[in-house]
Amino acid sequence: MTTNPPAPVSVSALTVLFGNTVDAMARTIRAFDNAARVGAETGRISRLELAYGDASPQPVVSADELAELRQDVERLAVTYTFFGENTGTSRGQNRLARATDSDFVLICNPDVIPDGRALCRMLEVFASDPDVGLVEAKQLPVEHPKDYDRATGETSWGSGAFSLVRRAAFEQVGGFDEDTFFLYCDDVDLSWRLREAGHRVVHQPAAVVFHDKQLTAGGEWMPTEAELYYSAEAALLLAHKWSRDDILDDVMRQLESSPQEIHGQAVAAFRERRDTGTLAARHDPEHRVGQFVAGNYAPHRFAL
Amino acid sequence: MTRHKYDNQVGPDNAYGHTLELLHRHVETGSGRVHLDLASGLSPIAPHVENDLGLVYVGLDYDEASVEAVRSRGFEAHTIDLNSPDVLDALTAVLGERPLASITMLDGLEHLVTGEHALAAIAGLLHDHHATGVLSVPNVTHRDLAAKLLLGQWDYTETGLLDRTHVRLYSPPGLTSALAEVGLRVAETYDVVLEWSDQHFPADHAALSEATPVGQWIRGLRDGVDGHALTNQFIWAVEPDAPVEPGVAEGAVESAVEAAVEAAESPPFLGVVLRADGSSAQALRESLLCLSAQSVDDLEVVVVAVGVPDGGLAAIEEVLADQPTHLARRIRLTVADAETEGAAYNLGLSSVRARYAAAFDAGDLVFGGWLTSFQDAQLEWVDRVMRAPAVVQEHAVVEVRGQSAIRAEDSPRAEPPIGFSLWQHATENLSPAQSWIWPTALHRDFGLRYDPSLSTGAAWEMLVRCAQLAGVSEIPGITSLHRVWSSRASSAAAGSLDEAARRALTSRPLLLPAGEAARFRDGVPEGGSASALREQLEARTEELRLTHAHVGNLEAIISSLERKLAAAEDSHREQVARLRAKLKKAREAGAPRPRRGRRTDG
Repeated sequence: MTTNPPAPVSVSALTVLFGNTVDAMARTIRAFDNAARVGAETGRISRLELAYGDASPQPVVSADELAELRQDVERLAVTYTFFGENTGTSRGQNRLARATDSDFVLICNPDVIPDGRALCRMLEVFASDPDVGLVEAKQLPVEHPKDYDRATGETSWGSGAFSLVRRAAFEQVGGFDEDTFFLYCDDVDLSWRLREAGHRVVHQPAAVVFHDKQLTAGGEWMPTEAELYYSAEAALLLAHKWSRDDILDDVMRQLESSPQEIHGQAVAAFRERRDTGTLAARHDPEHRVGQFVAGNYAPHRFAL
Repeated sequence: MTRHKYDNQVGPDNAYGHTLELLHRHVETGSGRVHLDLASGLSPIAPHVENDLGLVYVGLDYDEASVEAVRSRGFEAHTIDLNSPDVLDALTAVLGERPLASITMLDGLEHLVTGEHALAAIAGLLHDHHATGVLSVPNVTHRDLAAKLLLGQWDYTETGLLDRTHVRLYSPPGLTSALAEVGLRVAETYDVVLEWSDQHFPADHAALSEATPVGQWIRGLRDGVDGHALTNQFIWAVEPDAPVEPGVAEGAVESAVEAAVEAAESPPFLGVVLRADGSSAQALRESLLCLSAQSVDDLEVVVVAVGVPDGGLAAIEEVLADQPTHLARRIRLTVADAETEGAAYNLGLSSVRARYAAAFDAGDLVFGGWLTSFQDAQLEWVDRVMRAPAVVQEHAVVEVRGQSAIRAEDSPRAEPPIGFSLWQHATENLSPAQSWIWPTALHRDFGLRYDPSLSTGAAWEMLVRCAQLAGVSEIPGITSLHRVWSSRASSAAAGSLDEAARRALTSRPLLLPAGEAARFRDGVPEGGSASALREQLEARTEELRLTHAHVGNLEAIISSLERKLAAAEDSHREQVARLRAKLKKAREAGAPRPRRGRRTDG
């Protein structure tokens, strides 16, 4: 008995720009165009679209520059929308998801360079397992330390840097929680709501993408001030939403005693939400989905 | 009668013997055709040419006395001016209608001011008669001459490499070029090799000695450049360049055009040689992804696939086919059979055109600014080795849902030392291969290449040699990640596997740059080198050994005391028993009981 190969599918890559350079866009576009070629040649991808949403104060690319970027593209469809407001990633990507109608949505950062076969390998996971809702690629050169099952790839959450989501599943859970999360943990929250709805979240390390990092001389990752603020704020919001008051109290205490002024601001913003009743409705009261492990949202294999 | 200074005899190890051997290999014997011996002098090979090769010997020389002497021995000989533009006509006249088998010109070219006339005549005759030529030319790049010239010494002699009558001096590329100009190419070589040439004097010259550091250093330098450090005379069989045949011309012309176009393009900044294990295409995929994501494209990549299992090449070809156009057109693939690390790197290096080169194993990763950091640095430091710190991370190969993948197993860690020290690197493999690049001018000018005998540590050994010649410029900031494999050996981490490289480095003198003495004096600032850690470990082991020994001693003492105590207790018990027995006897005898009284002071 022979099995028919899966029918080719369409994919929309949703990515939000904020102050990026045209050169960086060009590198990403040519990598996606190559992925579209490999996807077409392998019969996996019928159409690949790269949907840019620009949340910058001013457009990062002019019409002429955009035309030039499109000039060298052979298979990829490139769309560009200037939002005129700073949407953050969750609102921006929800907006882009509504504007597209592909079989799969790819949530990704604008500075990610995918390997030509990355999307194909991610789609193979979906093709072989209908319960999978999200597949995350491995980032290089510095791999994310979150743990995953060595055989199945199942993991707690998939990174917004490069995760492919079945559109039906994405829409089933209502996409990103844009009212709660601006920049960070929106991917964790999406992953957990997918798992809560019965979908599997899988990390496929054979699918690789390049996402540059800056390491200190000691080999550690050095976050920016904005990353510090939004990750702190998101940590509080996530603990609240996923019914972990114990974690919420711990995080609150840690942030309040932090020497970083920016952490105090994150706590103040959270309190204001709580006081005004604008926090998210609670999920997972029995703690079956959400994982809070030593300040992370999954067990980590190593510190970074 | 005084012996002529060029009256040399045929011997198996000299230029005449080697020439006759080449003639044997390339000329049909017993044909009765003519052999022309240009600059024949006293014609020592004449009887061998006639008796052994079965050819008709014809000697040609400028010196009438020599010609007469040859004739007097019964051989045909003529005078000729080999400097003349009409030398071909003169040779044709001598030859007449006779068929030509071969031509020799032994130690004659260097005496000609305009040797190109004689060479052109040789080329023309060889072409017309489908004949073979053999030339003998002294090599002025012999190690003895090179060492002395470095020190300003240039000693002409009556005969030998610097015969005072030599008017043109030939190096290996110089002679090759002179031949190419007249349409000749080398068919085979059988050079005369002398460890000690006639220029090996004075005997106590430190630069010529194999026992002195300077002598060893110069030997290492000269011997590495080409294969002619010990060549005394080039003995080369030559033949005309093959004419372009009409049937194959089209493809050849296309190839030539492509080669010309490639040569005309300015070489890229960096040539990356990636040694790819045929069984791990995924490692290659990941390294190429990092190269494709560089912020500039000024590079070329040579993939050397080694140990490719049956059907394994398809996986590698798929990885290459998956690359974006901008990188794909800069990649070349070479498949090698069971090469050592050094040989595989050399194979890739042979097709690198770039100004700088790096060679490392597929699987190692570079950050987005890796290439530009080197480009920026070379604006300040031209033609030096450039090195940036790297992190090291342990990885394992896993299989997730049927796909082979690579999984990081621990935190990336910066390996000390951050700064570069040559003396430290001469003893330890401290810089992963992807963390440094070297100017390919070192290959062109010094013949520098990876040691093909090394299965591991070839990049390390190369770094130390490059660093001695060009120096090392350091770039701040981590730009790459070196993988060590949980299940496999890694070139940088597996120190014990680098033993052969360590032996190679130990066997040669080490040229340290200015400032290294201060490093010796001050020690390593980071204090974290492998040797420092090894010393700490040894000290701690010694402490533990002493502590263990001390514990053993204490236990022995305690046991001894316990035994003494037990013995004393027994003795006391016996004493008490004896006293009690005495007391009993005394009571039984009616002796008064001792009275308990109060002691009073004063």
